[in-house]
Amino acid sequence: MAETALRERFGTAEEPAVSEVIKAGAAAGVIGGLAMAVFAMGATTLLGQGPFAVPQLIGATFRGPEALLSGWGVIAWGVLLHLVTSAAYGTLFATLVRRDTPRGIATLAGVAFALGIFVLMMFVVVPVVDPVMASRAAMMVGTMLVMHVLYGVGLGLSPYFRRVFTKRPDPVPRTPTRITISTGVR
Amino acid sequence: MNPRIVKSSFLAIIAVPALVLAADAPVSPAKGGSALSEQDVEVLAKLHHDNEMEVEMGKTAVQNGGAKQVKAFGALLVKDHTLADKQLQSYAKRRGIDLTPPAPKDQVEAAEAQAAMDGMRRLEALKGDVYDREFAKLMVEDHEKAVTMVETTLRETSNAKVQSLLNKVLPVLKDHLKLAQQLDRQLNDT
Repeated sequence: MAETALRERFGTAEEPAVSEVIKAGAAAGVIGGLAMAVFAMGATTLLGQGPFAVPQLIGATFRGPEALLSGWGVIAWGVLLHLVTSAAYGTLFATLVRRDTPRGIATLAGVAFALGIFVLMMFVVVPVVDPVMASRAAMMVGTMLVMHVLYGVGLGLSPYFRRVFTKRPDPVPRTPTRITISTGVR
Repeated sequence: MNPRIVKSSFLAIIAVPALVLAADAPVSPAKGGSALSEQDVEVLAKLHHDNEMEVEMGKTAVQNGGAKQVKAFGALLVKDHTLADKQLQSYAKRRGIDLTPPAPKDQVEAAEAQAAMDGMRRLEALKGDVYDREFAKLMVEDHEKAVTMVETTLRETSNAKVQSLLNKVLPVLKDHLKLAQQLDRQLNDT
């Protein structure tokens, strides 16, 4: 039973699911990351920060406040860093779900996972690697939280992408099979 | 899984962010007084006034500045001080605090306030390189004063919310001071 579950989750020695997990996690992570970005553009514009405030703040990682005076280069670097991080956490999440995890549960698990990332990034990682962003993000906590919830919803697509990227036939039917019982009476 | 639970969870996922996003937006005024000390209220009013001044200075720098760095610093001032002021105003509305700057207590304070206004008006009349040099100098002075005021208040206030607000603002002011000092070195040391 346990062996079957492990095989289902990670594949077998002959047919490892590593590439499946990486591709599925990266795809779901990038979709979640893009959802974050779209929301952030609208929210930061409403807050008077302009549409590219968040990528610019991310682009200040390891660089300090001078990055805030730079132009598109920093924004592009910030977008790249954001998507790579989104894909990396997405891959980690994809190892935790199965191909047949129901969509609702996967979404809830994704949101819970993303809220954990929110706490980790806001209070541990970002203050160390990007204090410039940390000080501004502290004034936009609500926005940051919603962004991570959206990321979690994106992560909920991981089981779907695992099914898309798997090379093996799906062992669990997605929709209930209609059973026709013949009575033999015409 | 029970479809009702899934449906409720999705509703929660949609509703919670909406509520949280509202937390970043300014709130409507609440009834009731404030337990803040007079000095705390004075500092908050001063910070609000400074934010408004810096936003104006930032806009002028974008318009009148010659160097790309000066224009970019001006835009940064507008963004950061707008964000800081939204936080401040939101808190003040919730606590029913009046953020009108207090009248100068003595002649020294009145002279300082007048000098600041004169400096700003003089700066607004300049353009290009001359503007850039004066702007950088003024930004260093302004932010040095602001950092000192916030640090002093942080040491003296016992109100946790004021401390939390000031702790959010202080690193941003220090970033501005660092950038202003760099600009000043680039523009005025050559």
